[in-house]
Amino acid sequence: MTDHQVVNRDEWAAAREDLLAREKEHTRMGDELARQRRELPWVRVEKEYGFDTDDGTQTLADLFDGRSQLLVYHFMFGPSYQAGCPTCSSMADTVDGALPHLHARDVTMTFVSQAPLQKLQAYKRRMGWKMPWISSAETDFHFDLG
Amino acid sequence: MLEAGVPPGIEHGASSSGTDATGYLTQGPGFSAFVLDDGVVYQTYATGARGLEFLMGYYPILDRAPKGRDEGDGAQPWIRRHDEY
Repeated sequence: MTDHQVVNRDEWAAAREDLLAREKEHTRMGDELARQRRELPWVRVEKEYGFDTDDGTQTLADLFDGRSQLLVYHFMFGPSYQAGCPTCSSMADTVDGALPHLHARDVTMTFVSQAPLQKLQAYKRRMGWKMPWISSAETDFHFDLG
Repeated sequence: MLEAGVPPGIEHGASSSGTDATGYLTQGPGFSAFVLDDGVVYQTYATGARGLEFLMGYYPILDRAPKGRDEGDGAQPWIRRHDEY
């Protein structure tokens, strides 16, 4: 027998209505936060980075890949790692399926790690991902923005 | 140096990534956003820690299951790579 509160369906519907009001409040607050996030001031990236990518050495501007917005996830895969961090891997699972929808909104998303590109490529094959994944091994990017 | 008091989440992350706690902790997760405007790159946003949960698509799903995330406090001790469960 459960020790959780159990009620009839009418009482349940009333309790759920109350929670719905809170959920709607949360949604609207989320919209407002997103608006404030977009209004943050920008900071110019002055430094030139040379990332190791599937298409050779690329700059930060190159990574936009023809779009105007670039999202970067700093994936924990250091030089001494034999496999990517499990939590970061769970995020890649999420992002990988969303890529076509991000591209449709003028957004490029890429993953960056400090391990050599070859290690990243092999692990990406194992996990079956398609997202771009670049190595910042030869740059200060990890220390500047990681 | 870290051997005495490595938190279980770090231990799990390090051993499952084939490195030790010191090597594991040279890295940290993060998210950054940039815009390209007239050939100039600007950073517009950055976040880390629990500010990264939006990238974990399973969390909002679990939050609607009867037992929720069911993981207690601290770093996800249950998480595995999708081919390791």
